[in-house]
Amino acid sequence: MSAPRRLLTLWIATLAVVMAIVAIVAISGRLDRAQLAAVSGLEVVLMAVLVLPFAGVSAWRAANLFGPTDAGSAAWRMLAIGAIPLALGQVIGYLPSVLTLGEIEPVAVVCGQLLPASFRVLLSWALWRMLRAYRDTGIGFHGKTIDLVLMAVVFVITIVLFTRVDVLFSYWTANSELSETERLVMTSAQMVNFLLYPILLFLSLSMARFALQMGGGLVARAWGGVALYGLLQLVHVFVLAMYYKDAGPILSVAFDNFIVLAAFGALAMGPMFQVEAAEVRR
Amino acid sequence: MNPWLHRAVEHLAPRIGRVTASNAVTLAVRKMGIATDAVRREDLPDIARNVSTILRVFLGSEAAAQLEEEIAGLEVEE
Repeated sequence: MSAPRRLLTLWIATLAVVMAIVAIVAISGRLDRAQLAAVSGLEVVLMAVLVLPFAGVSAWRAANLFGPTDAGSAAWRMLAIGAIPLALGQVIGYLPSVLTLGEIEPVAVVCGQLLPASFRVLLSWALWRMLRAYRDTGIGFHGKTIDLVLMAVVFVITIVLFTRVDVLFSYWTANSELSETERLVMTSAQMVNFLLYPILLFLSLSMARFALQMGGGLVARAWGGVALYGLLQLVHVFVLAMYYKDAGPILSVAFDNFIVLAAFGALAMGPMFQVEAAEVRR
Repeated sequence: MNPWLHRAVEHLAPRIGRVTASNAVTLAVRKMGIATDAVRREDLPDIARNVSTILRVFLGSEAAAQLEEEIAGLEVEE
């Protein structure tokens, strides 16, 4: 295991332990709903600040190990660049649940939707680029029938998300007051993300399939990690859509934020595996 | 599998995976028009050159060049 990967593993494990302690305190009932929402938002902000920079830096390093015309160079660079709006989006989007930001609060919650959406576009492009490159090698990567079944499930989940838009709205605007116009803009921003989820899911599933077909190795772990991020994104949103209304912010503190941590961790680990695979000592 | 091919696959597997390595090497041998069982030590540099184009996609040019060199110089214990 490389030194950066060891550091990140320890880092994530420490975060998980701290979050588990917070979850135990939350479950014991010592925090009210507003406090729970603040703690939940603070955890996401901290995860974004402490884990996502690893993803950006490692993806940039991975890109530099490829030649300028290689597909891998463009794909990893897109991920490195995309990690910036993703991290910013998490910080800006979740800060209103922790702090009172006054008039800029509506802008912050909308940015919390649109900045990660821009990352999803870049990630989708990177995955599509690499899937095409791997298929073009002619060594037999292919989808399976079960993938079509899974895609049908994803399609159903997407429809469920559209029907639960108000639940997700209340999650993403926790502790914020919005006017009618601001609510409309926020809902539109949410819809953009809902349309991106199935695309990202399809590409992540395809990449996960290709990674499995590689038969192990560091490159499979690299793209498997990135694909896992895409898959966990939908799990995260689906869990919120289904249970946030009844459970409230405790759902995030006790369960869902761990999914977010796993997703961010997978996204950061992926490029580290690629760097390990492509590094040569001359 | 031919011991030379097996050795090449073993060498590539930790980075690109066993299945990818095996398919890439087999594809390279087919391109050369020789049977996989008939591969000899002298064929390794050509196999390495053919595999290198696939390795570039997975690992980039620098690692592909390095691995090409390594595969060309592989030895099999008798």
